[in-house]
Amino acid sequence: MTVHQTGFKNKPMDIIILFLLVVTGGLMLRGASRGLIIASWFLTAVLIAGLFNHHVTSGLNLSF
Amino acid sequence: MKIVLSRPVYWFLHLWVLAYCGVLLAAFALQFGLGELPCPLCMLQRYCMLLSTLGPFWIILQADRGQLTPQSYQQGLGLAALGALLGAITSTRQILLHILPGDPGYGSAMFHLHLYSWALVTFFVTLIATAALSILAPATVSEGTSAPNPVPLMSKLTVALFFLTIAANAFMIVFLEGFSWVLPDDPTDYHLIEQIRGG
Repeated sequence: MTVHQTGFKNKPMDIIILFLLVVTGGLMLRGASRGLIIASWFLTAVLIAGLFNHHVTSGLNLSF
Repeated sequence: MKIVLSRPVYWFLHLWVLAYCGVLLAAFALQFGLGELPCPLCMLQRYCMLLSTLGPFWIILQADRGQLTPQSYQQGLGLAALGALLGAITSTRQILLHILPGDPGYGSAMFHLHLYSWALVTFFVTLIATAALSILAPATVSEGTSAPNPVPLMSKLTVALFFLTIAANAFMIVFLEGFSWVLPDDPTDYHLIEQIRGG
């Protein structure tokens, strides 16, 4: 089993992601500009995808 | 050009947001009621549910303000679809981790399926809903600027409940993750409390 070394190693990623989700929701509530909302949403999505990559540490080892 | 949603679509979007609030609150009930702590992949699926639901949430807010445009309606549906796709990938990964015969799975099953399997079902339903709303848009969306006046109480409550659900997850993750960088693969306690106690 190999652990992926990613840029997420030294960041509290889950807290950052949920903070960004709160921020994105807050921007929507406040009626912020469309560009800002979509940028915030995509940043959150990229961080979620990166964290997913960090947690995928091994192959599935399935054979059929 | 501003648009107005037909009443069935407007209330369907509320139902969509409320349904995901229900799913996330049920996950909270299992977490705090039965003591089943979520693993990192479980948490990622919750993030994707929130990320996806921001789409209809945004559409509702714009419709309530009378500021909904064809572009923003499609963008809201697009965000919902992308969030659901990301969630479906995460759920599929967790299902495949436990697919071999004899594997008990992670956590307890509900109606014969584990929560990550149910999560995949909800993501597929979301993808179907976004497709259906896009296909039906010519018949369910009309040109106009009238916002509901006053905004229905149910709409305000839906918006408030969803935002509180995001905030509650954010509050909970601080306790679960503590001062660690990422969640452990198989969490056994609320890390912050253990760290404060000096564990």
